Amino acid sequence: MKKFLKIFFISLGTLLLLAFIAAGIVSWLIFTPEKLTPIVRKQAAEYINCKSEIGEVEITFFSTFPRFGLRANKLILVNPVYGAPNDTLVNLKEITGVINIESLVKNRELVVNDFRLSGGNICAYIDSNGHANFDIFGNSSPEQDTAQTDLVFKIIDIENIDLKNISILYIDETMNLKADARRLSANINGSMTTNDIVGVIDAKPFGLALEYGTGTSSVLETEIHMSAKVSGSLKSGTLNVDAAVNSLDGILHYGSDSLTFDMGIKNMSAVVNGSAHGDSISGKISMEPCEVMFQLGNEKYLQDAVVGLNIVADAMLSRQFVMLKEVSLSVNDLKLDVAGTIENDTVQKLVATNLSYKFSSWPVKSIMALVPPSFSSYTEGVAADGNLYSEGTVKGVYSQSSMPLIDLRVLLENGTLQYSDFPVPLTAVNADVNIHTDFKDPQSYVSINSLDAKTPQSSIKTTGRITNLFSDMHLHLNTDVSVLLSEFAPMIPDSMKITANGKVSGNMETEFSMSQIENVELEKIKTSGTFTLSGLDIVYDSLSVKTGLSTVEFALPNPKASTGNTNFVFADITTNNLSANKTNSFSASLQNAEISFESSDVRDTSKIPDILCSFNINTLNAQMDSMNVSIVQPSGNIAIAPRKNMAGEPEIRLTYNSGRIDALFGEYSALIEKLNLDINAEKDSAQKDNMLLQWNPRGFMAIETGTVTMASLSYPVEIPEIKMRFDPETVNIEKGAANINQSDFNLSGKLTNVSSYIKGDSLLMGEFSFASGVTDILQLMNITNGIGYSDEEQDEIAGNSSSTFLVPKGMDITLHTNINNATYGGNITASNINGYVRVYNGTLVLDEISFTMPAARMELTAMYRTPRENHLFMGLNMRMLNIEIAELLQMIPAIDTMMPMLRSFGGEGEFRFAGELYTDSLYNVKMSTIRASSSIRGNDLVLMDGETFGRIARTLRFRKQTENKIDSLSAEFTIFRNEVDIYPFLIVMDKYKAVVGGRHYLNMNFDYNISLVESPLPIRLAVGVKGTPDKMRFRLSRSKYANFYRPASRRIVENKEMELRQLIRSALTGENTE
Amino acid sequence: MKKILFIAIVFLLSSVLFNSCEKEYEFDETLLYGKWKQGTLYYKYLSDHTGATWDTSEDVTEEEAQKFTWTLVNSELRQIHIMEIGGEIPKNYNITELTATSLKYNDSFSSYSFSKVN
Repeated sequence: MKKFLKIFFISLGTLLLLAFIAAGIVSWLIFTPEKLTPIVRKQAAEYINCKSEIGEVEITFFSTFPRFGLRANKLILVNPVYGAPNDTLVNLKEITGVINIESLVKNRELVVNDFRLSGGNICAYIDSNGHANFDIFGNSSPEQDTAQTDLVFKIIDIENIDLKNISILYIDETMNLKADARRLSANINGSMTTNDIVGVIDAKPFGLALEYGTGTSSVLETEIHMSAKVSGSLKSGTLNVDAAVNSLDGILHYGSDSLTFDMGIKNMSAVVNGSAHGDSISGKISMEPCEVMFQLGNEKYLQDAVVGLNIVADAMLSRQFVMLKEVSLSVNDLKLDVAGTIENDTVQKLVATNLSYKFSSWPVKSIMALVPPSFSSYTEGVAADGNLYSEGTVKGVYSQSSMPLIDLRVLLENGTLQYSDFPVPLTAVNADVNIHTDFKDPQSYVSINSLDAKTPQSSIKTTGRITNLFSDMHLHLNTDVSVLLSEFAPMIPDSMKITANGKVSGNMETEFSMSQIENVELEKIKTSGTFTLSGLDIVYDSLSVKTGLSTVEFALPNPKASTGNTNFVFADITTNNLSANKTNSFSASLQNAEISFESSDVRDTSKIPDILCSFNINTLNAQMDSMNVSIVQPSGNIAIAPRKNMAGEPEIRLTYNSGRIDALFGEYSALIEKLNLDINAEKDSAQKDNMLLQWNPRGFMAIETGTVTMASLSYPVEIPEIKMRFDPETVNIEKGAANINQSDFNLSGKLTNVSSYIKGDSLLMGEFSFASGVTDILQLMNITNGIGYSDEEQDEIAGNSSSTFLVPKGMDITLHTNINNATYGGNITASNINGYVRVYNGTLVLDEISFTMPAARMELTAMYRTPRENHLFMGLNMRMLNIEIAELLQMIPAIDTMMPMLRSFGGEGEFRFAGELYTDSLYNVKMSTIRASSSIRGNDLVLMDGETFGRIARTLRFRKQTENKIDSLSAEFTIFRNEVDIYPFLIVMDKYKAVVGGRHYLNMNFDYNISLVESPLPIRLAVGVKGTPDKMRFRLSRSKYANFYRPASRRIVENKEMELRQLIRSALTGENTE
Repeated sequence: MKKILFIAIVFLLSSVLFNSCEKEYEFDETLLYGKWKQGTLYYKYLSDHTGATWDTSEDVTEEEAQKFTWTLVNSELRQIHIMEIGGEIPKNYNITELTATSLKYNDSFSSYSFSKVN
């Protein structure tokens, strides 16, 4: 093997040596420069019709090994064209043409298929008329030239052009194009036959400047430095191109009146492979990531962005159809994949698209970095991150009347957002959104598959669908929130004076359109949800609301309306504690409450709303000013609705039950253990003066075990039980029991004419059964004092006197009394009281009340009224049978004033009295108005006053053994103003009969006459008693009444006296005097 | 004997001293019609034999006057004051003077003098 190799290399070396020797002979001995140069110059002149200058031409072998070449050390072509930068078309330091030595030797054809240009400039110029300075080749054919020359100079079939450090300037005025390739070193290799063209361009790094004017005022300029290798072939109509560009640095500028942009590329490497056949093109572009700058106007959209691009696509030029098999574009670390087809139908003037795209994991921060500076104000203070994913399709036709259908999905994962005007950072922002749109409704929509975010202590999550994107946007969202209010407190302006703490969490489903929101069309908005409020504490100015734990369930509209009209809204509130407070105004709190509410649209003020509210509360406390209410377990229902047959007026129905109510209203307090209400009220707005008339309440009320305390009462009013039914006209008290201190009352009966009374059409009528074990009359008077009087009227009548009792007026109330025991001011006691008590429009009448006093059984008719200030009327008509006179005086001390001699008698008697008087508001008696009459009957009385009796007895010469016993007494007396007239009456003692009569005055001045009408003495003695109780004078006087009780001998005056007595007696007893 | 004599003298004196002559006067009752006053005390006599009395010093007006009925027989003026509560209070007076401007009467204990109010 070694031997073979040795022989082979020796043979090869020998052949090469012989070849080199032959080449040397040819170049140095046969084709010397002196021979070649004229030939070439001559031939050039044949082909070129411009001034040319060719340096010395020599044949080369070693530099063009293994072929021979012709090399000129200078080539200058000068072809002046007006407008060209210079006259020189070509100025080369060296030009070498590689020739086919075989054609040259055999056929004497100078076939050049390889040019090598080195150093120099080429300036190609086409003026605006299309005259080119490189149009220098003449019309003579080589064949014609062949006959005249030794060599035929054929330069076709150029296989290779090698440029070395050549600058090429190309200016085409017709296209406003200027291209300047500087220091271009390239190898252009190719072959062209009749049907096929094959070529390769391999350019070393060079600079290229282009200027292209697309109009009178626009220009495209570019400056490129790169190296490139382009190979291509055209065979059988198929063009194949492979190009590789390396280290391309370039800038591009476009400027027009309306648009200016600049683009820069640094260190770009790209590979382009493509083929074309007919109008079909398929290709692949692969651009390695390189730095790109893009500036539109003064706005830099990309700066040092790393952009990469890969495209695999087919195109049909006739259809302007492109199929993107694979497109991958990356900007920095943002990568976009696109595939699909797009076709421009110039006939129907539409673009048909069927594209899909996808990008993955785009960092939001990188996207934010692409925001141009002029838009940075929108993102100022915004720090966002996260990864964005998206994929989608664009399908359909784009034309003036239609848009393709865009169906895309966008996902954001692990997003964060921090915004200077937003008080808390958002983290864990995740979104999954589908957008489906052809920019038309109703088929366009956005589907929010999920959208959730968190703050340090809050979170929100929503899903939903948005339709009608291009008209009235319609949203259907389902949202879960968990919000710590204090996190968002900084968002509330200080001027609003709102502080909020606590947590709100829950779910809400809403369906609405934007127009509904703008127009506040709540009747069209659908929303429902449940929220839990934990530790909520909201303060607005002086108003605050707090809750420990509350749940609010609501729905708009109301899906489970109890009535057909309450379908607008529903709310169900459950709370363990809820309180509201306004500084210096009110406070209210609920514990363990359930409140359910539903209503019609309350915003429509032209209609009465339908409202249903039910509540069940463990404890309710409320306080306002001096009012304080605490209620245990209130529950019930409130219903408000338009009245039947009167839709403009409301009807309210309330059913209410509660346990203990502890209420304080200023000086009043009430404690009720159990309260039941069932009230229906219908409003009549025509009744404007009184709320009761306006509302016409009817229903039922029951109170069990209550206590009411009033400042005006010394003792609280205890209410064992009250049950009543009422309507606008009547109040039917089925059972009404009350206790005040030792007093107890049971009232039952009916109150009528209630609304008529309020209207002022009639008196308030009532008839009740009043039963009592013990009654303190003074307390009863305190309770009823002043009812029916205005403050002005009370002042007018009572003046400054607070003790004046004002009988209720405007009413006619009758009580059928049955009182076991009664007291008045602690001094007067009575028992077994039966009779009628009537209050008639300011007048109190005790009508034939019978009762038992300690001294006797009594019948009483009394009247009291207060017609005006300082003019109060009192009237009394009473009868006491079998009363101890001493007890009578003790019970009614005034009788002693009216008939002082009664104090001298002991024993039982009958006492009848009728009297009346007026007083001022302080109950000072107006003496001029006193009217009274009385009748006293007694048997077997005893004279108690021994001294007085003794003095009278001595004066009348009674026997010493006369007993101080009076068999009978029958007397009448009257009071008129200050005059007390004792009508002559007969007293019988033992064997004496005396008539006593006279007058005394209320100042206790006496003028009495005691006349003996029967005695053992033969004469009629009489004694006059005058003076005062302290200074009483007893003297014998004329017998005034000697014939009294002696009908046969009575004189006219005496008869009249007796007649008057009978008149008085009859009036007192009610007997007929006729 | 002294005792009998004393009684006889008393009896005799009594029959002399206490025997008086009664003279009846007649007055025209129409003169009584109208309003009469004694200080602040007023009386009003109407032709239908009703009347009323009031005392302005005690803040009682004519409209609030208390009612009575009256009769005048010869010189005897009887007022029967009527109580609202039921009951009557008779007052008998003996007129001693009744003119168009003056009215005087008395009873066993007091005298009263009134002047006519126009």
